[in-house]
Amino acid sequence: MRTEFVAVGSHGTVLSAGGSGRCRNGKGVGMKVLVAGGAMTPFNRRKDGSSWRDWCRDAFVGALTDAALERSAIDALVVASESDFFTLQLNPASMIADTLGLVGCRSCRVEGGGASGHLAVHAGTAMVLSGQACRVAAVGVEASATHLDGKTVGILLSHSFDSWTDGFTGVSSTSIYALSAMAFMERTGATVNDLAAVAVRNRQNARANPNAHLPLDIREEDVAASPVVSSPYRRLDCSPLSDGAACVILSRPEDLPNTGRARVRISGTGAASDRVRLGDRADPGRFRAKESAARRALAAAGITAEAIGVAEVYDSYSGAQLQALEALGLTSDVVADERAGRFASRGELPVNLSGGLLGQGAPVGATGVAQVLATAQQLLGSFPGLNPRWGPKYGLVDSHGGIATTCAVSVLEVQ
Amino acid sequence: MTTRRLTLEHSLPKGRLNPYFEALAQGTALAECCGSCDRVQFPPGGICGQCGAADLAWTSLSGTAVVIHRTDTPDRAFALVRFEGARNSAVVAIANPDVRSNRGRLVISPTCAQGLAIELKCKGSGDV
Repeated sequence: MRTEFVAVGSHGTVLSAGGSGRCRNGKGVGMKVLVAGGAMTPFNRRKDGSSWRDWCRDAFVGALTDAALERSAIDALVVASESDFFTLQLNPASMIADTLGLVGCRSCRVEGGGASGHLAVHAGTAMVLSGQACRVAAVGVEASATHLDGKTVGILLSHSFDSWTDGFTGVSSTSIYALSAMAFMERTGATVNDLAAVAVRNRQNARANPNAHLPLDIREEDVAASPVVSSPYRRLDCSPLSDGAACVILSRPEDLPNTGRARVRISGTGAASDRVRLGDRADPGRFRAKESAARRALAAAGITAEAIGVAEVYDSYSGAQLQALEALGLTSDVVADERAGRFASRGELPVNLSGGLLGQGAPVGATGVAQVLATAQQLLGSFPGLNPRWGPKYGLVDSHGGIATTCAVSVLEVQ
Repeated sequence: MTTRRLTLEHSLPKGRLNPYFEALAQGTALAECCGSCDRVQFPPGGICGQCGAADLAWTSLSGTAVVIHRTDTPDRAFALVRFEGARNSAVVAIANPDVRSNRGRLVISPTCAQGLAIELKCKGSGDV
């Protein structure tokens, strides 16, 4: 098995290519891991009696079909699931391996809050790169919407922060995000209208997505008229709790059948963490860990942010999308670019064409996997919804857990 | 459809942060002071947020706080506040959400056991 590495210089310039198998100074790995295929279930509130195990199976079988692979080709499974409280199943990786007919494969579970799915893709990528596996299935799943009542889910998710300080106050995720958004708005001049514009656009983008949870034909006045959840956030500023699963299969090109189809490679990954408590951050409105994760991913891909032509960004709340775009380095003035329509579906840098978490939905463990899948499909022009008007070469995927506490970023590239 | 009911009652030892929680239960703000750079932090975290030192000593604060940002839900209010003497800030519940003020004092709140809560100073009162 041959591993191709590319050394990248400190400014992101490709210096050399070859099979030395060494990564200089711990960065700059030019990765040859492809998104061989993928599939997702609809994200919604399931009322059809199906189980989370069924959703995993549907996503996995769909991904195998998309990758033109047999089940027996998979030699590793990485499962992403945020909380056993939703599924009432500890050690879910073993259960899912059993359910998918992958007994005998290596399997593990990756958890990093809202970044769980994306971190599972990172883990699968590392397995392939290191030669520990040839073809990895990354399966994300969450039953966030219907297995527990909304109040209980809210209590559980409030412990996504420091459960000993923030959690004991009874503060919700929305209130934590609201406080961060206010710091962002104070520093940048962003207004509630800017936040509402994101909420509207992502729901409008979702209208073309058959798997979306909230494809809504709404306007900014609808956001303003929706009930206050935690000021300045109103209901339509918040992403929904969803049920669903998603799967991508990762592999080197030489370990895949030649289907003649274009594929997308993961050309850079980066991850970082921040102080958990907002109050321990120098600027509670700035997503510093996301900045670090993006720099690492872009350096690994050997590109700068200007090369990114499409992005799926973690919009758990409308304001969080603007905070993320700023942190990812995709804009030098996020408020001006937002108002100029740069991130619109037909803008210079379309963001969340899938609808994002606000529109496509957010079954936590599945979210990051679905973001990677959507971006890969958008780069190929095959996303079953909105696609970029032109064919960008690079796409960026951004996810986080907590309030941008655990951050994961990937750069995808058309082969 | 199968329905399962799970009732959980956690007992959570607080380890080296126990003095902070004991003080909080008495309505007292016990902060950490870094033995290396003198930074005071409240709530404590076990490691200095400025220099990373783990040599921290307990020090009492007045318990007064200034509101930096405030968010209101339909039935509660929370704020990011800075306690007097601390370099970091904290998310707290507001015990009297009907009051609009930017200053308050740490209180024992029955609605958030062991959580940080402040009572806002009513305009005109001089006790904060």
